[in-house]
Amino acid sequence: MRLSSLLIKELIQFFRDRVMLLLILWLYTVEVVICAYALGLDLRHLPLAVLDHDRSAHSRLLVDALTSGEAFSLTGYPQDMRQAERWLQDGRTRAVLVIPRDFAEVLIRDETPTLQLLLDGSDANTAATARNYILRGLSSLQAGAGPQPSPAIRPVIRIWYNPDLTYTRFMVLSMIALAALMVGVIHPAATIVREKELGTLEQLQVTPVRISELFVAKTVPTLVMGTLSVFPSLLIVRWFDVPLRGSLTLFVLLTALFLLSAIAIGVLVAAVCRTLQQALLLAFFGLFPMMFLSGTLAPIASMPAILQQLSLLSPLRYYMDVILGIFLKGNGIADLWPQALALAGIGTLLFAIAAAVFRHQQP
Amino acid sequence: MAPQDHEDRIIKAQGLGRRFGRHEALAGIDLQVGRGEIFGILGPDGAGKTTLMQLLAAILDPTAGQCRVLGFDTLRESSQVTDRIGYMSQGFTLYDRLSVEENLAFSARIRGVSDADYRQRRQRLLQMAGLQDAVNREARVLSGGMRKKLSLCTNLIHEPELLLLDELSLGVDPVSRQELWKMLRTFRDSGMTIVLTTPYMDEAQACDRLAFLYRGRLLAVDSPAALKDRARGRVYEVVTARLEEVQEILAASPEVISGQWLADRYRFQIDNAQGISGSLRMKLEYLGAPSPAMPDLENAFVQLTAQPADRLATTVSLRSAATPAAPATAIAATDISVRFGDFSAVNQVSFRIAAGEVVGWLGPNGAGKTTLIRVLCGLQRPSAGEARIAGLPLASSSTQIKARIGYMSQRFSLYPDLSVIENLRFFAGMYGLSGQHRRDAIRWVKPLVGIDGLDGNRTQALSGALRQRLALACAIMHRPSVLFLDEPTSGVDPLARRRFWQLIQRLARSGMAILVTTHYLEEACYCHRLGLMHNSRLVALGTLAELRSALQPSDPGASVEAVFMAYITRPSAAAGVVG
Repeated sequence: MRLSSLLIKELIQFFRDRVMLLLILWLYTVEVVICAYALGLDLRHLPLAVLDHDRSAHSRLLVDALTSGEAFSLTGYPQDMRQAERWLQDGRTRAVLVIPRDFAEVLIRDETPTLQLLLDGSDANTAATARNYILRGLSSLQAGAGPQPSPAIRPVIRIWYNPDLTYTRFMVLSMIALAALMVGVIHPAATIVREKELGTLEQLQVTPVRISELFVAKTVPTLVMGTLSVFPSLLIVRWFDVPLRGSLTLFVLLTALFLLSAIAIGVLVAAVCRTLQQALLLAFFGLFPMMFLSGTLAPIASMPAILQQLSLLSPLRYYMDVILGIFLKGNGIADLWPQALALAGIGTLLFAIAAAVFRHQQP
Repeated sequence: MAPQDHEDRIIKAQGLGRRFGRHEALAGIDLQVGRGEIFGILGPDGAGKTTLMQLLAAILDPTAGQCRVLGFDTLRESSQVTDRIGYMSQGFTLYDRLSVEENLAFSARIRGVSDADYRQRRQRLLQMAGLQDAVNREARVLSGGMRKKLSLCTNLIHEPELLLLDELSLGVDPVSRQELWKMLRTFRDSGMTIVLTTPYMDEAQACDRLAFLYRGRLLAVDSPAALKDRARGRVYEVVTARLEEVQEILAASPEVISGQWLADRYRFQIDNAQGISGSLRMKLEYLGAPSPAMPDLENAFVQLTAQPADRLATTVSLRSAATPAAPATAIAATDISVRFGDFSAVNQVSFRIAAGEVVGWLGPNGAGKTTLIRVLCGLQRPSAGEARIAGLPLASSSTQIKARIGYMSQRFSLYPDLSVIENLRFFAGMYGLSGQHRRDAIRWVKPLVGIDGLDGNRTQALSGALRQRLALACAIMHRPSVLFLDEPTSGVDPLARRRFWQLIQRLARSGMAILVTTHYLEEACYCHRLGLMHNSRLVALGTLAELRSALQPSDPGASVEAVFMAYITRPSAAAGVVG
């Protein structure tokens, strides 16, 4: 009776708190969209000018190939190098492609032509990506260039799992993982600390309610809600054309397992805080390093060794493997069992610590 | 002390009003305060006291009417006003990490006080406030009373012509309160004008003139004596042991607008100045003859604010209020001590409370009252000693004990986002009540505390008085044998406080033992016995009469405050437990 009363109360409060509901929905949807667009390092409409010394069918083909997609938008054809430089200088364009006089000739001879690309390097990331796009455009042109298809074997780079190499897919999935983490940490922390502030936690302690019941009531609703809130973000996933190659059930189950760790962290945060403000600050204090350490923004492989070791402790790291694996690679439990085991291990440990701390706090 | 001529009008407000969105916080305030007055603004929480103070301090613009302070318009010449006054807001205006000296020096510097003036005034203020030994201590380690005194000093350092004090004695114990008032009188006598707000009637008593503020409007402005006079001939009391029957008769009499069920008598107020009706007199006669009593400020306030809905609590569920047979001794505490490191919060406290008894627990801040109650509720483990609650040993059966006690804190710990009925259902569930038992408990408690017809209302939208009753309901639904009330009446208007005490008395009659802490010393009269804590020890326990007669010299007419002060200030060697 006590437990069901507690759970009913938590559910009523959960659905009545419009702000919290909106916040969770926002984190799982709008935030994902915003970050995917804002942080997605794909090129979009980069202004490109072409200084075409060749003016051949092949050079036009190259320009068409580059500007037909969304990556570049053609700003014009400067007359000479001086004008091209001026355009770069005053920001009219961000890149200038210089096509040499012998471009078509070289291409037909089945050799690799030399192109010159002038880039506004003030944004290093964009510059590097733009370079890759142009190289790709060129290689596709080369592949079908000669009057006869070339008999030579040429290396073709093929990228697996994310053939279009869109950073956006990765970003969408890692933002969903982050949303799960934030909801999992902040919701229990906020509801527990709020009860401290209201004095209701003390009021509950003078009733015969058991601490274990209180603990379950504070964690189970977040677990259920946190797992269910994954579904709206599946729509976002579809919007960005991210495939779901693996099993949805496995994804939901492993998400719940991951939430255990997050909720435990939330309970621990609540244990040391007296006010909501403190709790939120402390939660963010922990969330950011966890985020950076878990390969959500930068690949783990490129981190210093010590940080790589540290990242082994972060449940988010394993969850990133899970979410990328299930969506992009179609991994099943046969591939993901080490991650599942790690999540279960870390989750159980953190949960046990949280339960012990929670119990210790009560008289 | 009414203002004589134009120059002496320190404050002159005409039709002053302020609204926040659609909410009208203040309306139609006409007020004049003369030089050298201590002017009190009295009213319950939410009456608009703080808004009025902010308007007078020219830090909030009025939305209606106008106000001149020290001759300057508070809207157009607000900086002229703020330069010349001292304003102490409800929140502490001290820097926690600065020392006493640094806080004082800082406020002097921003007020442009010259070094010579500062040195001279600093000495005098610190001496008056008794802070001269604490100059180097950080403000955050000071007690509530010392902080208030320091806060007052920082507002006096520039010797303002007008001092505005919002809730001066909030959270201040009676000892510090007396010292604060001594300082106020000294400055008043040197020509300073002081305007203060307070919810305490006994504090209001000490003002030269008073304004009653209620729901954003001024009900009356007059001297305390003249205000009390308005209720003359309307207050009666009946001395009898059968107070329950008196309550029943009075609740059924429409002429009675308010009643106080005290420990040994019933005091009530009627709504006409012609005196008590013959029929009511006859009904009461066989219990005890009603005799006219001296009205107090509360009576005057009640007379101006009484609404039909606030009248006496009805007696409908009275008979069903019986609690499960409680052992005759509800609480037996033996040598309870609580130590936090070197600090002793409760020191060897022993006492017994019988079933059906209402015992008031008084003492300055930090005396150990709250810690003691937390021990008895099982919220704090004692370092030594033992207690039996409702016949069960505290050390070994805390879970069973929790099912037999009720606890209500001064914060009215409810879920603001839940409705009234959801709160009731939830707390009933916490005590393991379900199905028919839960429905019965809720049906029993709602009319008892007077929260019928509010089921769907969101708790955060309720008035303080209603939240107070709901919190009580949540604490008694499981019919506990012992009820702990930690400052249950703070911030509630006098009418609601009286009604609340009627409920408490009624619960006590049904056999519940009730232990209540309070800062309102006048509420001691409701309690059968009083316990007085000081410096972590129980220095006195007995009926008010017993405590009075144990004074040296014994003083049968002493006010509760006088009794309290006498026990607190006498040498600890003489302390002993009475009764």
